[in-house]
Amino acid sequence: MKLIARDVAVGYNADKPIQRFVNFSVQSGEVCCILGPNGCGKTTLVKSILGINPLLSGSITLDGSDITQWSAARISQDVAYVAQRHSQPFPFEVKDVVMLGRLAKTKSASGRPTRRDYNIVENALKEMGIWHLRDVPYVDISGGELQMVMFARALAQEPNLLIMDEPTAALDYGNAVRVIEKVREMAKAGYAVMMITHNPDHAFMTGANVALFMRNRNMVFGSAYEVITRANIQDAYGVNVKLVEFVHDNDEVMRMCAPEFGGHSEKGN
Amino acid sequence: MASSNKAQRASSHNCTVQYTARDVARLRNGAAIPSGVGSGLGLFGKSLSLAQTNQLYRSEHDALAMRVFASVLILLLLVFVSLGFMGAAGDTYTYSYRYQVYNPIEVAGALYEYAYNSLAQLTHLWSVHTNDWILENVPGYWAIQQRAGVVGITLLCAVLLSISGMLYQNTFKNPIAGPGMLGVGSGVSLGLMLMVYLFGANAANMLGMRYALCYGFGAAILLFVLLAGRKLSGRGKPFDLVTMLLVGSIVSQLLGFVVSYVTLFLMSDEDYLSFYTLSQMLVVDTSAVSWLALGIACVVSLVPVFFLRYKFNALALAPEEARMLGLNYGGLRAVALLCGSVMILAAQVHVGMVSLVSLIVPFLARSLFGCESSRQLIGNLCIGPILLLVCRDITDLIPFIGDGLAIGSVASVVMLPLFVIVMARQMRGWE
Repeated sequence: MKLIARDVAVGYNADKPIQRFVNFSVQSGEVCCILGPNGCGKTTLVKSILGINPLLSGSITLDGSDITQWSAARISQDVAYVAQRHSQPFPFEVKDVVMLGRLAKTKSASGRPTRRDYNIVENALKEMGIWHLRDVPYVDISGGELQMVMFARALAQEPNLLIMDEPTAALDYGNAVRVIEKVREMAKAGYAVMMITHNPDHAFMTGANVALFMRNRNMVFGSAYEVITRANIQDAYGVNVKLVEFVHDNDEVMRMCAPEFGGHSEKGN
Repeated sequence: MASSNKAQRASSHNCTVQYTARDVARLRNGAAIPSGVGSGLGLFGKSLSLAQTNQLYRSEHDALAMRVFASVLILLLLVFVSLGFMGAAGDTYTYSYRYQVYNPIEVAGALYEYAYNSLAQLTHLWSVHTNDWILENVPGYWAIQQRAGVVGITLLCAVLLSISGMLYQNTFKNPIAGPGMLGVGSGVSLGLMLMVYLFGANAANMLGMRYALCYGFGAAILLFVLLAGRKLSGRGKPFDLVTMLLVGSIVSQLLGFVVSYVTLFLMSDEDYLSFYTLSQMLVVDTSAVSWLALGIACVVSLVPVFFLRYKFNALALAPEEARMLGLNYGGLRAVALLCGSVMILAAQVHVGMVSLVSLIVPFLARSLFGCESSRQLIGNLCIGPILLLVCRDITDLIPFIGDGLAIGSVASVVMLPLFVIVMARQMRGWE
């Protein structure tokens, strides 16, 4: 499973695209972080991949097949999307929410779950560590747990590619770290993960490739260690950072961005 | 060594439940192993094929079966009370309000005769063996037969009212959305107004024409609102809910004005009275035409909903979210709105507007049976008929010579306290 974007232009108006030449790829077992300042077209890009917004130019292929020609049902066979916000109008139980991921997949025409669907939902709940919450209304759980529920629903879809829009938004530090840990585990389990994030550290934490959108409508794509440099961060966000590297007790090398105050450029206003 | 063996044996003796390898395999496959209180009822639930039994949903299925069982019992009790106590009181055609109480055995006997004869007449497979002079010996036959028709129509309409309420609340993602919002009801009152305006006092007897006009105008209004909603909505989202609501409310305001103008200024007093009687549904029509019209409406609206009952879960999602799960959200919403409107149309034609039922029953169903739409549907099927039958009985207990109260106004009074309690409880849950 490999998603390749070539010379993609995203935006709502063909005359004024937000980004012109977006090139990146993500394949099974990899994480690809989409980084960039607000309003640079990250979510618009994802919507183009998912067929919600039309593609202005370029091509997006999934295993060599043009994904923009696919129907929503076909896309949902391979791609699961974890949205940034989720409205909760009714107090569904957690397992019912996860079961929604099976709704379009079951063999039965009425969408009635079969034994296989129950087993998939059970596994998804256990993998995300929310088995104990299965009977709880999902309006009563914490934000971090809700994110795990959304992950479980995405896994229940049995996708190859997971697309997440800021999965750590509005989460406290502990929950954010746990979410990133799950993302690492998913990539290790063989999913291709594409993640929009605002935190460059997440790219280092997940050992990801990074597509960094600049403010001048350019972008860089490469491994986190190549792309997240002082110069690129300055170009993209207009802030100065120092990169810190250290070794954990388990011998894992970890790099992080440490912002430097008082040194903002004119562009950063 | 010996002592540990002994301990092992002792512990295995103490163990009250011993699973064999086959049991474990069945457990793994998610098969039902009878356990605890709900086991017998769990099998009952399985035989109803409410959902496939599975470890994950075991407790839900047991609870569901219990609640369905309890509801059916309560409903049966209510039906016997309604037929036994109200049999004579419901006889509005002779204006004879004698309270004659029939015991359950008499009710069952009369019902048996009624069912036997109706079936014989319908199928012509065997001759009607009970003539009028034999039926004289069945106590309360005519009264109970008349009442059974009223009860049957009321129960069917209760199902329609509550399920349409559920569909609208789920579609609008708003727990206080009502199915009258698209203005179907104004079409019905327009039809009735035309009936009375054209045919005067004869209108009450022209049943076929009455149903044709009411259903016709209701459906016309519905189509108009849908088409206008398609035309006026912005690009990309053809059936915008807000647009359709606006169109619906404008149409119903306008028609409401027309109807009240015509009835107040262009009608004689007698005509106005018969319009009032018709539009308040003071008399439940139990003729064959009525059953036929209601039956067709039920089949048309309930069958799609039954087959889509799991998919309707997606209505609670955002449209794009549902799309990403591979579901046809627009189609589901269209089916929900259309079926819901047909349901409320039929209910309004046959028992009148009882809007509180379609508001409160989905509430109760959600809190007692859960949000998951297939379970919620069963909840509505259980609770709606019970509540409306209670209202029907209370309505018919208040005897007026000639006309009675409208069931809608009685329902408001009966259900308002319930509504306040439920709202207060659920509000706390949302905060």
